[in-house]
Amino acid sequence: MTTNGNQISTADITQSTENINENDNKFLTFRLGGEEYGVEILSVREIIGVIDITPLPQTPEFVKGVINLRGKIIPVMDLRTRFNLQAIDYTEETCIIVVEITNDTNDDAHQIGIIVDTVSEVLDIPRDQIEPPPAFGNAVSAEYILGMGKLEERVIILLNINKVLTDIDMQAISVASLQGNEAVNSAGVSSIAQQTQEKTEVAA
Amino acid sequence: MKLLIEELAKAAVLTDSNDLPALIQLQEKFEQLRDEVTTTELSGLEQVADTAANLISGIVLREVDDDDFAISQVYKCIEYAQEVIEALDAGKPAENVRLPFTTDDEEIEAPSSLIDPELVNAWISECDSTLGELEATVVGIDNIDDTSEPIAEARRRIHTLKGECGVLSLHIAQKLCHDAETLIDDCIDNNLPFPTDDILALNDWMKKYVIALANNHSTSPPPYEELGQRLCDETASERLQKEVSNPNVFDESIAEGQPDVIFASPESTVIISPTTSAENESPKQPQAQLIEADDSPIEMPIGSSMDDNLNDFICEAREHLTNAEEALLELENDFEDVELINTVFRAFHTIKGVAGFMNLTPIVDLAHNAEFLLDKARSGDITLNSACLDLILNSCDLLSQLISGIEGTPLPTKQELAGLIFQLKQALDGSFDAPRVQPATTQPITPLGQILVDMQVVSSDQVEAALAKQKEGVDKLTDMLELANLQNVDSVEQAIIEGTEAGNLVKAMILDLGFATPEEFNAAIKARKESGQRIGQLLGLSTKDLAPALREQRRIKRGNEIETAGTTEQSATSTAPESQPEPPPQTSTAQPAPSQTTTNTAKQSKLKKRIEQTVKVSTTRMDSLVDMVGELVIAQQMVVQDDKIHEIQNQKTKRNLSHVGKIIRDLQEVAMSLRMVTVKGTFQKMARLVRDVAAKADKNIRFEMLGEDTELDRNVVEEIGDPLVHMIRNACDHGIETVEERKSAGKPDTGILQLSAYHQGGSIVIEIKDDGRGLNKEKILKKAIEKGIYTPDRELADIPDTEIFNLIFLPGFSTADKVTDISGRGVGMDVVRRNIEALRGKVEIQSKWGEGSTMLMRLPLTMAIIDGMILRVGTQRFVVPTLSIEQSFRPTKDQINTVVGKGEVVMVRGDLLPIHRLNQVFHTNEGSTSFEETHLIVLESNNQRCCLMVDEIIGQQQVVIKTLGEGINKIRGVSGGVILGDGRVALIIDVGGLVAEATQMDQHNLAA
Repeated sequence: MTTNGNQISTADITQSTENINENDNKFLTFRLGGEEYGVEILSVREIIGVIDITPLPQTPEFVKGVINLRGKIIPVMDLRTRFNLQAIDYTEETCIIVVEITNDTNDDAHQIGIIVDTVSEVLDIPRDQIEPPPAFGNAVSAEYILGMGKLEERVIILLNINKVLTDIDMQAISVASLQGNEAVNSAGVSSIAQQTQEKTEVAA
Repeated sequence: MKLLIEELAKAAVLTDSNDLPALIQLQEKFEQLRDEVTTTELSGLEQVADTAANLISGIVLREVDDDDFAISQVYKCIEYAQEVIEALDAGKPAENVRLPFTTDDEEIEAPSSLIDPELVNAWISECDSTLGELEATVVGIDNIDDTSEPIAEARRRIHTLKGECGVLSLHIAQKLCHDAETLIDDCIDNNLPFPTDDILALNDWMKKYVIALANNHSTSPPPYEELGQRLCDETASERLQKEVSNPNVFDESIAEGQPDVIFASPESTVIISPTTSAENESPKQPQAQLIEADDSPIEMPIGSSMDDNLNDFICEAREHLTNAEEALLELENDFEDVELINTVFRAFHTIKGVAGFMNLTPIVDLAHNAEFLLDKARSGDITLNSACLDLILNSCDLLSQLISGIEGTPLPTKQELAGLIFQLKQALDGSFDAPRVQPATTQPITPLGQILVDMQVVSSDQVEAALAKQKEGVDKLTDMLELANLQNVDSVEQAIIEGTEAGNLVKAMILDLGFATPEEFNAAIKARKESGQRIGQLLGLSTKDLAPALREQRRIKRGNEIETAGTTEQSATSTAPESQPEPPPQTSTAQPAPSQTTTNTAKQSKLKKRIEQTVKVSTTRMDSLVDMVGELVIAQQMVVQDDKIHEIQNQKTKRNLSHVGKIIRDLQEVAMSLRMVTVKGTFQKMARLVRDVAAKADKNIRFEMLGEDTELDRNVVEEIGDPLVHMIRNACDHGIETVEERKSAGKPDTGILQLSAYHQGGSIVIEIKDDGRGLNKEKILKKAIEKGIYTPDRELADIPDTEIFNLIFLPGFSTADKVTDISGRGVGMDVVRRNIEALRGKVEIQSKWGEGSTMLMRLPLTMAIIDGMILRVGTQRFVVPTLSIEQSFRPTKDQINTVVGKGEVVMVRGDLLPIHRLNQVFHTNEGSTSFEETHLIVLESNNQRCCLMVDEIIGQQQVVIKTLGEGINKIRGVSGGVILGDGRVALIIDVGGLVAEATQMDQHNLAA
């Protein structure tokens, strides 16, 4: 599984990894389902356990709501739901990673919490160990992936978290929220897992 | 040749259009000059000399209608010649000197140096979104049936744009917006469709202009002639015709051969219009002393890199300039306040010093010259007058532009700088006197002494001796000595009147004198004449020797008088005793006395404040401190409310806990006060606005500020600027009458506009009070009936005043007979009301016909806190603004009915109100469903009432509003979030949105 003989062209890297800081190849890795993902450490502000989340009406399913992060209200998103993975109940291990993202339209930086199954570690993944994302066969669409980081026997999906969290089409949100409303209306279920199933049914 | 031109200049200045021999002499000199030009390089000079010679012969032969204009043209020729000579001396090619006459045709603007570049920047960044919204609104008009609301919206936006352009001196943009408004009005009046295409063309043009401005503040606007034509010429009647003949207006105009009208899109206009930036330059100031007067931007010799020193310098210099500007505005009240002069002097001096250290030559040059002038004023060699102050203010503006230039924003042109420096030097000679209206174009009045010296009739020593003698005469008015020493005609006159007469009448008179321009000129002329004769006597000169000099002064004065376009012949001199001690001839001012900007109390408080030490802190740091204190408060609440803590019985622990609580409360108070800023900055901008508008509308207005140290939340202060601009413009334009009207109404000539701020009952009141004509109730009523708001048969006497006055807030409601470019369309007040309401404030009007009006803006102390009722649904809590709640009750089952097609309703005091279940509207999937366990809250919003069903009402509390985070789009029915005592987030319900959402949902459900 070594990549030494498997050099990627620089063009590919710059194209897919333009957001990676030249000087820092550190990634915070976390688990989501069976996969290991990573986000650039530079965009991570802090990691907290799951606290009370106030749900927001009329938002897409993956927007879990808002939390009080030391006096500041920030939205949190469930990355599982975002990537259409099976939702699970939150455990002791479940974490909220607070990331700072910048909007493409204006340069304002703001914080968003992402809910992940568990946070693993901070890894130093050298440039030449990062491969461009595969075009298919993944739960996460290729455009949200910076690259595939390889470290010994592991493969870590490096997320373009900025893209994941900002690239939410306005239309999609309103549609999603409408569907969500209907789903809840008709069923009135409370468990998150059931809700998701409902939704996929309605959507289908 | 140089000598010849110098002679020419001297001769020309002394020439009167009636003095034929002198004219002929001048003409000969010009011809001589023309013939002396041999090289082709100087063909411009040759041409100019020829033109001048022709002009003079025109005057001599009485072929020219307007002698003064012709003479001014001759001056231009001479100035040009001087420039050429200087350029030659400096070894530069003479072609760079701009020919006169090319720029006379049109006054073209660029945001002048008077405008704070920061303002422009702020405007530019805002304008982008404004224009986007305007576009969206206009485009939307075509697609809907009821267009009145979007049309009003579009008009509002254009109106605001116009106002902003006016403030920024973007006259062309202002004019275009004005035309566009006229066009829209025409279309509405004639029941024509909204001129969507034209407004979009304007929108495109503005966008283009804004982009250009963003790159270079002094850029000239893109070609606008076609657009202006299009907006103006397409009057309603033409449109009507076109409408009749062909429904498609623009196809028709192609047929009529007006292609430019159609292609007024940004790209093609560039090709169509031949206008070049050269032609668009503002009228030339002829003087070039230090720097070659071309219009290329100043080259700022910035050192190797933007190092820390430079940043510090920029920061500090800005602060110095702000201080200087403040002091200058105050100086207008008292030209001799040495402390204030020192403040300004120090500012310029420091800037100069540091800039010199950094080799920022243009800044050093300008600061040096301004400083030099101030130094003279400080040592009493010369006395400041409002013209000088204008000049120094201009220097401030230009300096701040230069300083911004270091950071990469566009620099002003060299020519601007050179012009200003020249004016400063002129002022130093005591010969500067530019009327406020057109500082660059009017001929300065040369003091009589100067003229005499120039004519070599007397030596300067003699003049000075005479001056000293003259001063003795003034000493009589001992108490007014200071003023008299101003060597300023109007001040001396004021002094005289104050010394000889008494009572209110005198005061009024002084005001008259201080503000009435035409009178003042007359007075000044007379005084000047007299003083001239006296100085002649003192010097032992014959009247004959003096005559030409006096005539010269008179002529220049007359020129100025024409400029300022005053017609009232009623001379103030008639009220001034003829035997007045002559004002020292060194005076050169014929300026209206400055508007008073501050009251004495304000000045005192300012003096006090100057002692207070301040530290500058970045807003981000401050905000984070405030946030952290907020967190601390919440954390402390959590500790106090903890059950385990409650169990503690130890007195000492309890005492300590409460001590911590007290400190935290104090800390919170201090932290909140950090967010508070005084309204002074905003008020001072208004002082400038009043000054400009008054000059433009030719009115005498004294502006007073009270309570400008009142503190408001920073956000609120930022937001009140716009409404204030509109209200103050209105007050100046419609409220305060012209001098004639005021006279006939028996009021003092000078109108008073008072802007004050004070606390009242937990809110801040900002009051704009004028002593103008007030609101005309009958006229408003008539208009209201015309517009169909009232029916004529309604008992009009029964309508309360407040209701009538509130009509003026309606969009498009204006009683103005004519629409001026300052105001008059009935859009401004609509903007005011909307902005104030967005701040959760209120506007009130009090007015009495003939006696003036008062506008009151009631604003919350802070945007950040509301009074809210906390409700519970299931496990979640929500906050409803207490203002929206009418009552609450526990319903019984028999109160509730289900109406087909309307859902559940409840009878409350005879009204049938719909019930919205909060848990259904927000899909919370929790909370009780049976009415026995719930509470109903009657909400009121936009005159609609409804009931909200919740599980429990927890209580009332002041809550700090927070946004839900940037990542969240606007949620209908939720206006924000609050952090409750237990650290959890509750959503604030936006009642209007909630009702809309619930109604929509009901319909959806019913349809399904």
